[in-house]
Amino acid sequence: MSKRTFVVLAEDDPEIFDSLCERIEDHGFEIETTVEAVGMLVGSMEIGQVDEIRHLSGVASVTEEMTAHIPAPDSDGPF
Amino acid sequence: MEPEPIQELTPEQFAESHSILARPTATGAQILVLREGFDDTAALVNSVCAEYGEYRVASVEPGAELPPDIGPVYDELAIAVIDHPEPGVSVTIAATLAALDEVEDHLPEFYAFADQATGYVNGADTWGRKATGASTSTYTGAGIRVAVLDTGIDLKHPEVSSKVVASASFVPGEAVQDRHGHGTHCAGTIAGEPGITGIPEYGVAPGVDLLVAKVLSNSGSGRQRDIVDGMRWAVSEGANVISMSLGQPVPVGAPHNPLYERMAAYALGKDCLVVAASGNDSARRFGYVAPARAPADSPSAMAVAAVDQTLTVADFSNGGINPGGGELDLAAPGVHVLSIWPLPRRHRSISGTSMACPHVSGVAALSMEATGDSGAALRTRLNSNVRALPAPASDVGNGLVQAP
Repeated sequence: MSKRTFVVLAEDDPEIFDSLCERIEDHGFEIETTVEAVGMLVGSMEIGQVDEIRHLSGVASVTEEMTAHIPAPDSDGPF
Repeated sequence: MEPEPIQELTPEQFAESHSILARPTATGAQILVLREGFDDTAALVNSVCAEYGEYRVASVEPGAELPPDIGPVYDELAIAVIDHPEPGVSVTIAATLAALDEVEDHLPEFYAFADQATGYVNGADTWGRKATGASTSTYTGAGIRVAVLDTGIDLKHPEVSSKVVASASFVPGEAVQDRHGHGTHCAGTIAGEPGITGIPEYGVAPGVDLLVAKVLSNSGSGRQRDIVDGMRWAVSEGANVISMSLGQPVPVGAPHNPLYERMAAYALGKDCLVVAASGNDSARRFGYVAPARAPADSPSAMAVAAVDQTLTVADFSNGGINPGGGELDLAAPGVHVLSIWPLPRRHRSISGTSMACPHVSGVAALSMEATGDSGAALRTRLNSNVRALPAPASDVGNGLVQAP
């Protein structure tokens, strides 16, 4: 088993955010960052356990954290 | 107002411009930047040079000349130039010195081609300023705050540094100072003003206040959480426009990323318009068109494609082929775009939807200054004030962005 970093989005209801954070931690999700303004939690958990949190009430989506890049080719010369 | 016709280059002028771009620009020397105030540069550098033969560096007074086998040390700047006669040795010496606490950075030295650049860019304005109508606009974006979320900015660049009203890094362990160059180039397209004779006007909205959020590392990548942090910071700093020349690939048919959509909608709710590059994953010459990347595919963000100087969609430009937000809004100049680059290089011409995106962000600032429109109303105005292009909306959106 290996841990991965996931982005959890809460449903669009600020009232539930705090309780969701607690409940999601109870399922083994280790919270690293939260941004309450947009209902985002970033944290890690075993990849095999992630389905446990997908179906919690108040969870809108769970996706593996992605990395954004400068969109290549940003370079000199014609292509 | 009818947009100014774009002057086309003759084949000879075009070939000349490309030969300038293709010319090798690195001299082979290394510029060593020491900690500010360090006063024993020559001795330090020579302690390593001594392991590689007779080559040395020495302090040089302004206007004085040194023999060819002696490299200059500018004591007041704490900078040395290492130009060892044997190929590759300068890099080895600089890399050895870079491990010392006294050394802040080392960079390759480049030739400058400032004078030739005027021929390439067709006169007093870059082709991008002409094509968007920024060159004839009476607006400058004064009083409008544009946030650039990218690799940071060269805070010492004389052509843009005075425009930066706030900056912050969201990349762990890295300062705002741009060690990549991409962020500086994008910021320059929005707000730069040439400081050298012969360099044309290239900034679309030189009157704006720049907010700089470093969300991509010096190697050009960034985590979603850091990007979201940067967007929140920009909104909290009063950004009217957020310019994002970044993205992550999206499969054909995939829905938009919910996190970016929520963040873009949050910004829009605060009257802040998010403008994003569609991405450069296409190879149209082979018939392959990739879908717009995230966050450009967010319904609440504007997606920008790139066109070349003939106003043809760029070979690499991603298309509006995914439904539910993946459609394109606008096209803008994105091929051979002249802007600034971190010192000592100063200027550089590069291509990508990353270059098209800040053209739209700059025009958005001009439009906001002209009309007072912001947020969703500003987006509507930008999408309606366009120059129609003979290409489908999936290639160029509503058309070429036009300044008021």
